[in-house]
Amino acid sequence: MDTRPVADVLTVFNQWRAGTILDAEERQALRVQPASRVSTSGTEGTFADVLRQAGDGVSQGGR
Amino acid sequence: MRVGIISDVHSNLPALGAVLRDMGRVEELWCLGDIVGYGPYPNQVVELLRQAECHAIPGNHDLGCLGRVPLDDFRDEAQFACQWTREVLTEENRGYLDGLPLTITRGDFTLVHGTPQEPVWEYMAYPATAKLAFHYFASRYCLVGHTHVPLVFLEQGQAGAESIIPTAAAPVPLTQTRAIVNPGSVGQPRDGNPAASYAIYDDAAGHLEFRRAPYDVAQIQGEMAAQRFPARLIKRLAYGW
Repeated sequence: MDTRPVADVLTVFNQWRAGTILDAEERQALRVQPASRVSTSGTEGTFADVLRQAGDGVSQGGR
Repeated sequence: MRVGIISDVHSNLPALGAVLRDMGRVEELWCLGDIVGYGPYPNQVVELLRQAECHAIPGNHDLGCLGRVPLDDFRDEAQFACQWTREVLTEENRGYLDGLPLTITRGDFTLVHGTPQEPVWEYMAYPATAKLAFHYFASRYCLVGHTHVPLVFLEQGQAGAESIIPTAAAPVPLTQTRAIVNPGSVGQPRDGNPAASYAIYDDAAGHLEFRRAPYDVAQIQGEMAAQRFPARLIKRLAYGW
């Protein structure tokens, strides 16, 4: 049995649903940190800012 | 009796083929919706499930492709795939999808795509959702899809629900305790593992086996590129999201 917290196996799903998931090429192109480490406040900008810069739009709720 | 339980095939014929080969002989095949959408083989997948006399229900993408839910409810890349699927689905296969019931009960199992309280759109991802859901089906067990993540929720009285992350190494016993089970996605896993995910119910053994079947991701990616699918839909199959 996998003893990790359920939240761990839902990380990818939650990032996809929020529209914040980036693949390796996208991260490299944007020179951002791995998704879980990007600041959501302060001067680094939010995921939404990053995705706007990438022209990828913002989440529509995972649908 | 052995039952193959699949969900969220999403028009991915190579993944479905790998699962059916890996599954071996089963007496019944159950599918929890989102048969089409996202992938380039909708007719082939529907026809394979029809040949297998699969007991199936529709998901939000099937309903979107049929025009029964608005495409505005989907994000852009999913809208593209739904529109493309609408254009290529044969009348016969469209009629098959249109005739599927939103829920099915087979023995001790209720089959829904999202949740028993909201079968089309709601995600069964957390114990709080499961705790509510146990009030909305009468059978002992409920099978759900939609999140593309294999998970099991066990009813725990006042405490609500306990969640279990299933693995291929250890079948999950089905006991008198009521349970909600997600076999994961055949055609588009969303847990960081690109291998097709499905489950087998063995009633003699009294358990569920959770399996992963690797498939030729590059082959479907090539077909999606040939059909000019959005790049992100193509690439993400290799990442498992």
